Amino acid sequence: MTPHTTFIIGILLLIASLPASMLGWRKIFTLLAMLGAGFLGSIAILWHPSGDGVLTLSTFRLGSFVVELGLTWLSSIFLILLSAGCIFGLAHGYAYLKDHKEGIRSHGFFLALLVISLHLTVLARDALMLFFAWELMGFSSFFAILVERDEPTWKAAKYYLIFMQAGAAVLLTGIALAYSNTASLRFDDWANLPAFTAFMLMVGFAFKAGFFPFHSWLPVAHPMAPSHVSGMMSGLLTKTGIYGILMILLCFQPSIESLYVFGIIALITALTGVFHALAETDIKRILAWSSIENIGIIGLGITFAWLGQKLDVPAITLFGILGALLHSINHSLFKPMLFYLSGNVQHQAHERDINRLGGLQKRMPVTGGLFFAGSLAIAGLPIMNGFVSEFLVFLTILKGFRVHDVGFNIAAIIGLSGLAYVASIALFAFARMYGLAFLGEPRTEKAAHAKEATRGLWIVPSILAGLCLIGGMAGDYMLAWLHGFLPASMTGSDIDFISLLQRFQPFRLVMVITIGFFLLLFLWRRRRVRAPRESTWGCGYEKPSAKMQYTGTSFVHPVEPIMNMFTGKQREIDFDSSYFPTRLSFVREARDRVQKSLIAPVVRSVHRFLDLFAGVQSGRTQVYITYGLVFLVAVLIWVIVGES
Amino acid sequence: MIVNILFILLMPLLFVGIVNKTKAIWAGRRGAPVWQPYVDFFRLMRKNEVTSRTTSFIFDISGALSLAAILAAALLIPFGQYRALISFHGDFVLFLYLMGLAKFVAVLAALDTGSAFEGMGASREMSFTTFLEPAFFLIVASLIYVSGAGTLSELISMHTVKLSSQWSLMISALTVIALFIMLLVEGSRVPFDDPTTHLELTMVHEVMVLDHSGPNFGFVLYANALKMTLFASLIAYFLIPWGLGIAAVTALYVGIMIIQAIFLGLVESILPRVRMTRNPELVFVPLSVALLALTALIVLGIGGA
Repeated sequence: MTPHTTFIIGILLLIASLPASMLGWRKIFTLLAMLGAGFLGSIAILWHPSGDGVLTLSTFRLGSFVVELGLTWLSSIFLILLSAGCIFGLAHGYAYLKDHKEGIRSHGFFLALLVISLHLTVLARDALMLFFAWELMGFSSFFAILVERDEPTWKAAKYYLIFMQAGAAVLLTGIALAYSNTASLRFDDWANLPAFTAFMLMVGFAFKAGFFPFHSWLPVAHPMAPSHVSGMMSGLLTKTGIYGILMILLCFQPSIESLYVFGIIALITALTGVFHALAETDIKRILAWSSIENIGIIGLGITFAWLGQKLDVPAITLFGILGALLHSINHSLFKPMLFYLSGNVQHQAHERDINRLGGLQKRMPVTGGLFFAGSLAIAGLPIMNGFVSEFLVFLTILKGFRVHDVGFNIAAIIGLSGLAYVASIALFAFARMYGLAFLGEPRTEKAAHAKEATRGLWIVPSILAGLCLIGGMAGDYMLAWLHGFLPASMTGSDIDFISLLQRFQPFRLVMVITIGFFLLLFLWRRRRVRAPRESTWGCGYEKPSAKMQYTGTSFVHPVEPIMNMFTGKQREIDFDSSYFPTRLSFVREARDRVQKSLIAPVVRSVHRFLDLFAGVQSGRTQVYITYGLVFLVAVLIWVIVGES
Repeated sequence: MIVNILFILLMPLLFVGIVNKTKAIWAGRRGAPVWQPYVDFFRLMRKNEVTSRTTSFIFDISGALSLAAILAAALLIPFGQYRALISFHGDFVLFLYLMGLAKFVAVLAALDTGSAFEGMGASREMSFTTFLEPAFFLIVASLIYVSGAGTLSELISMHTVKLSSQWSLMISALTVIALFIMLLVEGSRVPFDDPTTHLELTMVHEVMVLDHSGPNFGFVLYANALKMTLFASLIAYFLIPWGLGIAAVTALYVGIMIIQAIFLGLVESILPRVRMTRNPELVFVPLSVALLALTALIVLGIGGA
């Protein structure tokens, strides 16, 4: 099959899934949409992209513009990432909404639109198509969030929509500037964009990717969306932002200083994300913040890749771009998986706050086990795939110490210590999330009565967990595959790449030895020990209660001073200080600094400005008729005066 | 190779034994023989366990998994000769992350018991070690900057302290200090933590493993001793000059290890425990020291690569 027929079949299948969802044929809808995404994704596999080649799939005229759909090496990678993610998301969405009655038809419709728009975004070869897909993505995801139509969901969805529109406005400005610079909307003509134009475009894309300070929509929108949508938003939507940024970086020559600035932003993004993930107590919000952290890590990889190009060290470029791309792929596997599993928790325990959960591992063994695997992956621990890509980003930065350029060395120091710190805090945050939600004793009745989710809800997360494991053990195959996509300017020398792949042999050996040691010790102990069960040691205390356990708040207390630098002051205690206090109130919340000190004031001043005109709206028909009359008279006078 | 494996198996508990002996002698006691930790270890291995009703599979796998991870990390560190058993470019990242894996499961096991004390210990252990990872990476970075080598064993053992150069002396001293403080923190020793304390509220590592018993507890003790030995070995190879014969290296290695154990015992005897709230400030020291060393290197432009 040629790529062109595959493309047409894929698009037709996706379009056919729209009426299927409206008719309420859920199975057929899911199947059609999954097949459509699969066909579109397989274009990139069928085509065998090689370096700088471009595959044109379809062109048509729209007014005076030629709209073009096609693939480059970069969009091939992201096309595969997105279509695989869409297939998993649709399959899990089917299982997740099985018992849901209300609003399912329209939800399916918008889900299919979201899938179409995600694919169009990377298939677009010109700004017109891209912007159309971009807006379609914003609106369809807005409606896809609204399965539950209660007040908080509405608020979150509106916040998300406004944010996306603000981002799209910046993007549109960038596109307009680029059009005035190059007199073309085709990306192929966008070589050597001026820095400011490129900056505007990148800011537009950064909104979607969730870079600091445009990140605050993620922790608002993700928790409110149904879990399969939050998984797709976090794993896939943010990646379209990364795709856009990479595409623009390929279109102009960034100066070294601007790359340093980009690197600093990426590092701030990662630190903000990880500290909020440590402070939050809502599982889905933790996951949303951790997406921001991972976007920051990807950003660091990108920064060093381009710095390597500037300083003419091809090995750094190769490692950096591979690290960034591989981390994007890995993140699109483990993050949706954790979101899907957190949906299972929410279904069963009706609670997402880790301070009100606990003991779920024994009540939901499969979900818990998979969640453990996902936590290992997201904390970047070996055996799972998160390690491989973080390893690559570390290697990239460490290569910076072999280049004798003081500025670059300092950048490497900051990047290295920052990334290492982010990684160790991520370890902390995910030990906390899994440990408090799934281990120990249930803290509330709701958690105590949780049951294992139905089998349909394990399938997709288990496949994803398996992929994470394969990605962790066979990272070199992934890298060799990714390397095949790269253009000649980034491939580096063969020696660099082969030396990179050779590291994986001893790495696998260490992993196998670790597993071997573990099995040896574990099985030996299992044969030796017949452990009688007793209650937990409480220093002789006889009646331990679940309330005595450490909570998500107390667990991070020792690092609170550092955490507060990123999350703002979190606790307010109010009590009278007499010997027998009668009044006590305690408030603790993790606030997003950007939301509090940047967005809220802007919203307030817009409000105040619009309030000036509020008097015009009186609600009386007579007044409105008078307005019309006044307007007509004014027009009349204008015409008469203009005539004479 | 056999020497390596023997050292990995025998050194850790002997190291603890020497520390304990030193402390006893300083306090005016005869003290237990240096092989006492072995006796304790094998006694634990023969015992049965009591497990908490609250625990899940995490508690069952954690002891074995964290020991396995640290044993695997030990393969990446030279023991008794210049080369580690396994080494590849960038293996220090794996080394750190294997330590991270061990800590991750140990912390989860603590939370798995649902005990307030163990949650407290887990929280402390996690928060005190957050600065160590960046510090270790900076040390590695400064060694890469100097030698351009790529594997942990090369980086550490190819370094030779130049007695004639004051800068080399200063930078080496800073690196050793940073590594030694990391040893103290990771091995949960005084002044960060007291392995002999008897009050749960003042413990860090010990309180995390309150519910471990029998072989599981043996795993934990051995893993902890091995972790200390790993950092001590790094210091030893950092100090041993490059290019000696295998016998000389092994002899020097054993010598430096014994000196470090005695020194550690003395530190524990002389220094009091710092207040728990001061710990986060103290663990900042290796990071700043490592940063200082690296900055000095870059400013001076000392680099061979």
